[in-house]
Amino acid sequence: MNLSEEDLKEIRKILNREPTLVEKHIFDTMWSEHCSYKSSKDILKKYLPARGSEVALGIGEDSGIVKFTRHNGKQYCIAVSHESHNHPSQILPVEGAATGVGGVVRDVYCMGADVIGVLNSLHFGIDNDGKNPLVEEISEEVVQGVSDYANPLGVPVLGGETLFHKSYNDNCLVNVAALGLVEEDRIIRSFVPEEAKNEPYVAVLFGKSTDATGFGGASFASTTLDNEDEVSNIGAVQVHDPFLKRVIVEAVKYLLDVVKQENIKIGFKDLGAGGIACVTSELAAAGGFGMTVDLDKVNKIFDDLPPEIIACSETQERFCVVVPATFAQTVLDIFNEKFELPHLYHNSGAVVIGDVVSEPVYKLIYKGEVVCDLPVTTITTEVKADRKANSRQIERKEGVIPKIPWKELGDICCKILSSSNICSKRYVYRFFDNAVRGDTVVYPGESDAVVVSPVQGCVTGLTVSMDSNLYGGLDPYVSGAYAVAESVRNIIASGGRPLALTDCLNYGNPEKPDVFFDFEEGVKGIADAANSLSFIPGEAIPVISGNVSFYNESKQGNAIVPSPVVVAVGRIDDYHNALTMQLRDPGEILILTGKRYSEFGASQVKEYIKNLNDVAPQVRFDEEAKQNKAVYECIKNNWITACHDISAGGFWTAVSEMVLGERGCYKAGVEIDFPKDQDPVSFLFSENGGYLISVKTENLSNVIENLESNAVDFYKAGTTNETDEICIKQDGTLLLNLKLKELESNWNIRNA
Amino acid sequence: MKNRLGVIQFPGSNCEYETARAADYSGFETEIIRWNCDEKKFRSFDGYILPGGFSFQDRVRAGVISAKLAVMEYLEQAVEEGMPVLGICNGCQILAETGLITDTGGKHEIEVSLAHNTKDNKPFGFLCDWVYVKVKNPAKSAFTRYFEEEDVLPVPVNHAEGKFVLASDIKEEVSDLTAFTYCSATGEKGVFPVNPNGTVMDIAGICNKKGNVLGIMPHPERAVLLKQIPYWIQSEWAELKYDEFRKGVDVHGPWQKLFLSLHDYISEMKS
Repeated sequence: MNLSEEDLKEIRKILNREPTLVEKHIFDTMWSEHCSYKSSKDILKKYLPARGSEVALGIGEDSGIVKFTRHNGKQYCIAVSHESHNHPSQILPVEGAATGVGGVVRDVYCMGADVIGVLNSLHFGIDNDGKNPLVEEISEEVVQGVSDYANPLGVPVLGGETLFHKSYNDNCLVNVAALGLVEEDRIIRSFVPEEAKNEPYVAVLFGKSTDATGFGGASFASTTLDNEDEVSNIGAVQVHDPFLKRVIVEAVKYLLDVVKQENIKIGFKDLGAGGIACVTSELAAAGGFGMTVDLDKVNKIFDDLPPEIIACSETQERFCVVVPATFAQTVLDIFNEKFELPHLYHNSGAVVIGDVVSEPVYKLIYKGEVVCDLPVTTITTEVKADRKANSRQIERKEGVIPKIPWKELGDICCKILSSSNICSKRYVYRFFDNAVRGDTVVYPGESDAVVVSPVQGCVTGLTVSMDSNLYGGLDPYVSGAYAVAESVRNIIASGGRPLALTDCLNYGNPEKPDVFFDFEEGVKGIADAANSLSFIPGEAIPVISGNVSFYNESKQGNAIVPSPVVVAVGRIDDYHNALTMQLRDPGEILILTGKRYSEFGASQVKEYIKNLNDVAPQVRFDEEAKQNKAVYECIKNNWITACHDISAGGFWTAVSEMVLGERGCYKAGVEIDFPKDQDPVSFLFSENGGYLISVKTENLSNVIENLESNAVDFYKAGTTNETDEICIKQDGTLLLNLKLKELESNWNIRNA
Repeated sequence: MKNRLGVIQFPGSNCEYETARAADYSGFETEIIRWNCDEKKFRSFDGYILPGGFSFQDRVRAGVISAKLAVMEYLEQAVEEGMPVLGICNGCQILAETGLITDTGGKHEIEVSLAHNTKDNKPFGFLCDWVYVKVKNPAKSAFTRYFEEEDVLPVPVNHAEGKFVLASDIKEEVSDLTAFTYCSATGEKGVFPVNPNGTVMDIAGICNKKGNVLGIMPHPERAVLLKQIPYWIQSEWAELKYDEFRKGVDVHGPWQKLFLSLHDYISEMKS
């Protein structure tokens, strides 16, 4: 348990007595950083824009929901949840990553939505010198864990990212987001409905039988990892069962159809951190009611589980629904008879475990005795922790660029494509089913974002991207701003416009003022970018859901690079207009938008060139916004044939990836020509935001006119041709000639 | 009245909805039926599809437990009466474990099995990718009559246990029962990734002796519409998607013919 002496004092003061053991465990969970957001809440509220005309349900429940499209008289919405499962994945990578997926999809299902895809952002360490052999094993097993859950559940993995950095050696990051489709009038809320004032309501628990797994999981996620606590750490990790979940999900669909047909008011929530105690108290408190739960009624894997474990274990694959008492038998029949849960897993199924009561008191009964008796509000009280931020000087002045011989630059061009952060990640995503449900239109690796057509018979496309970066160590503000800007660029490059954002904020120990400064700066960066890059005048791109993961450091003293991860969800009016990145035909003109600056902090090329400056690539919101609008319009008008954003690895990486496509099967060569006064290192490798677009000559004047009218800084960077090489000229003089065959084999290095 | 197909939802199936849509798109009236439905309900269809997924969590071996369900007895009866049954991915694994493919002996004994994917004889786990298959013996089965012999078609695979292993005494008959073999984009044989799982004789899909049951490891239901085809694959279908999408047009993909063949077979059976 991680309850502090101070917390205990506070609890005694509220209760005017000593808390029982069960009550202590409940407070341990509910007052943990993981559940209470006690360090982060104020900052998040202060900065992040949460509202917007397209928001159907903002922050506050298990998922945020944004309006997506109207079709046949129905308003379809997208529900998004975004979570981290970092500590569990470091301890037990397969189970940790798998339950990360399992947990985030439950957050979407319990809103009444059907999950249509997940994304994952995986940050792994680097085992350069054989000193960290675990790093390799963890990365393989995390990938297996995601695959072990998402594939059987039947939800496609719609992209994500894999990053490598030594600061993740003792703390891998596993962030997962889930997207669901729901009709607006079928959104289910997570509280006891007010109808419970007029008729008896009961709580029905359904899913896997309760066991002791994941006990103390929330508080485990809220401290620094200590290897010496191995035994209790492993016990705190949950165990996944995607097969059972798949059946439960089908039964839930059936239940929600009946609920809709019979117009029954219900409250619905999944069991995550804090298990039964958390879900029942929150359902009650959020509706202004109380609850009495009889722990003896809970279906358990075996008898004699102590009450605190029944109440607080984080056994997976469980949900709780509050329904009128008269409807309870119908619910039980659906899970126990129609879908035969008790036959599929020992003691699983649905049972009535409690009664909603009007007085705001939360009681747990065990063997006939009251083991917990709390005013509900004490459990869900706003706990706060005042954190101090210690600001530091951040270098933001462009530096001087060393002159590099052309031959050396050619070598760097080849090598950077095989580096772990740039090379093709097909060796990771080939484990993930990306086509189940049959709605994938643009596949992972074909464009900057994945495009699906989730509403049957409707041409509106949903485009999604998940992004982060390694700039946070140098410039925590930029890392937040850049994550949003890149995610939005990816949406634009695929043909969409941004609808909503979610974030998962991964940092070290918030009690350390240096770390808390990084966190606050990251949130500011996200907020400023969200406020600047919306397509709706006068609005921000709303941040509809999110998660904070602190304590990503180990007792060995290593803290991660501040790592805010962002998901952008976008809409393409007609998915036939979705755009890919591969260059297909000769004779097209390549246009680079966005200025290149000499800012190389934490950039991919730093490994190869000494004495580059430590200024992180700044995000210039005004320049980004203009480019976004221009490129969006050009794609919508069918004026460009391929598009890729400029991010990690700069222009050079972008143009290489456009030649190589998803698989490395190139179809065209490229001749690049850049101006005399431009320094080649910045031109090729600067990671400032921008786009590279390919245009057929007949559309060139339209594109240029559009870029000019949007005041976009652009440059005709080259042409496509029938050769099998990329050649680079400066002001007409040939400097480099790189064979596509070699670039392809470098880039595919891990796909053997 | 439309031809009616029942898509059987096993505990752990996960492709039933898109499979039903693919059939509906090709003119069927399709219904998803649960594994525990009664016999009367079950027997109210003209044919059946066993969809992909991970029924019973692939415990023991993929498909084994589903093969023992009561509902499989009704299915075996329907097969005896000549009704067509298609098993895709996990459905194919279930048909193998039920003895419905290849059934050369006519006694529903297990003659084929699906083993772990291998590359150079080593298992490598799950694979999500697009591959190419070649049509064999199109006149033989209820599902392939609209294809031409040697047609090469792109199709996605998503499985960890997709390697056909054959009982030794059926090897001679197998080439006549093979419906699809893995090949390169240009139709040649090859090792991984052309043959994506180490399957014997490059078999991707195989039918029973009577031709009314087909088990196929790749997912034809994910290539029934043009929009489902990736742009990167080396196929005329990718070019077609690129051109048609520029015009804003959606048409069918390479695998609609499988469902149309089935439709034709059922209409013939009923008349």
